[in-house]
Amino acid sequence: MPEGRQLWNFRPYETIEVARIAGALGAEITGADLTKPLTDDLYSEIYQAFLENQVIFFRDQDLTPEQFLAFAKRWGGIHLHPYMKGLDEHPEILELIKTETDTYAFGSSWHSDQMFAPKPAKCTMLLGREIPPAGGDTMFANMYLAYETLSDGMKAMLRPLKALNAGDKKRAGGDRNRAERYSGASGMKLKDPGNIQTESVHPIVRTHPDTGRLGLYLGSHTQHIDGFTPEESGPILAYLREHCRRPEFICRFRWAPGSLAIWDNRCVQHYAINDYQGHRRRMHRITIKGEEAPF
Amino acid sequence: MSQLLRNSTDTAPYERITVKPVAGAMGAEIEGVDLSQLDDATFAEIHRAWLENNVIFFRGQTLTPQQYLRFAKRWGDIHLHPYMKGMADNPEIFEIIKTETETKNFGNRWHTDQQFCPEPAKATMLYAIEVPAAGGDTMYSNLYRAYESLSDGMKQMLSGLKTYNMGDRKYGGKSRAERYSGGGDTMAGRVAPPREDMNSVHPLIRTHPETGRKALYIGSHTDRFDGLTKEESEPLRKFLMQHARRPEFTCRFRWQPGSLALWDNRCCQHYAVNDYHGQRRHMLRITIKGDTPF
Repeated sequence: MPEGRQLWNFRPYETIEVARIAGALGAEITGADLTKPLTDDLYSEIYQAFLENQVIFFRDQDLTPEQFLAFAKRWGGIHLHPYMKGLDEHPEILELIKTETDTYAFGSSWHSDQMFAPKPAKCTMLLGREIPPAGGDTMFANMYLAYETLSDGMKAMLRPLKALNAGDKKRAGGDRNRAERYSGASGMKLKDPGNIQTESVHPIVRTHPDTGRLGLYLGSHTQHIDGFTPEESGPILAYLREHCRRPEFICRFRWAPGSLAIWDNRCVQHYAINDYQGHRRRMHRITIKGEEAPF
Repeated sequence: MSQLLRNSTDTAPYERITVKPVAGAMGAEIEGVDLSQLDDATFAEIHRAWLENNVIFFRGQTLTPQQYLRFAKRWGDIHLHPYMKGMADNPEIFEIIKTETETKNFGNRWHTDQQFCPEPAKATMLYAIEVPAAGGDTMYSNLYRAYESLSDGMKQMLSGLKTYNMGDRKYGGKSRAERYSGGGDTMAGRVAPPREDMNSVHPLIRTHPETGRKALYIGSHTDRFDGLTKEESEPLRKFLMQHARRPEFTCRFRWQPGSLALWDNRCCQHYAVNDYHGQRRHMLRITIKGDTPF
């Protein structure tokens, strides 16, 4: 731990109830109405549940865009996506739409949001607006557990390594850039990232700034281990990617209109399941800026 | 809720049950039935929902062992596990228990039940007696979709292949008896001596005898492809195993006491998630005999 960093002080919950949904991570929170302004005490409890469970879920929160933004701003500054356009009247809110005829679903690979940025998004909030009758779930994977279950030898080998993460390179295992992939997604609006940095080198083992716990930090933006050739890093990254998605590290969330998920990109990967062809799914997303470069 | 008819062209509405899909790929919860007393017409609808959804789930069932067995026998003859012993007074029912102090669980690999038998189990049902507060879910994958999403070239290449499936395939270098000998394991006392004849060759692409659909019939018992060396088989086996568990082909079921799941081993893999150390989980399993895969 760096000097002077205060670990979170965990306390019993007084206002909210926190019910775990799987062994690995994820909890549903009840007892909070997010349409109302958030008191400091309530925010503090919710933030603790977020740190303890890595991803938290609320039900039946029919927030207006203004209420959603006001809630989000409690968590930090809003991060604007370098590639994707937001709502016309609320550019901080990104609308994720898959229509009845689209075939491409946004986020349909295991990843941590905006790993390609020098200070990647701290957390992401997703609010369900229109949801298929079945399908369109999101899976989350706990990267603390992924790290902690490696052997001591593997942990020691990985500790000093860094990886290059890119926003618009060919994804590992794929051969298309963002614009090519999104040609099957009529609902998604692309923009030119301009001069924003979209390639970044980050440690593969990341220290969570609030909890001090170590987690594996990789995702579909990860290209290769820094200083290694693609051939050298390929098998190691392939092993780690497969390891990270073990069912023991995962929870799965089924959406309804008004469901809100908040996940911690510093210790979670997620995957949007594209199993609802012929149905429409519409979500509102806000991401919160990372406060620091990963260390 | 709309009915997603997945494996059937029969679009007649269900009249006696309510069928609620749980994911895009597969799986449905069936509401409105008491499995302790089932008439033929309701059973027929449940059977159709099972074929259409690969795995079906019931909640809040209160069954004695006798009632559970009577329900099971509607699906066919009971299949006795060649390696694992059943309950003392009901040998057709096999108890699956993980205690608070155990770390291993049963079924913790993507597999289809008893693929190593010449006539693998058609259906498996699992009835929950005691489950953890959170954790201990079961994941399922749809092997029809796994097959259908392969390229035409791959489908053609695989169409002639057969798998070699082993009842005591070693994982991490350990046999079944060695895996269960880890000290105080509840399941260890139930392991019967291994049998030499528990290896079977089956087609990799299996035609479902009731729906006529083709499925990628592979699981953790599959050791290699018949006629190929292990080394030659491994890259393809590994690819197909990873492909078969793509999130788009799966659903995940969270148990409660009284939940009952019933899956079709001819078109499903499943995986028992081991994420509940320190908590007890107690299930009752019955498997139904199947036919020779073709």
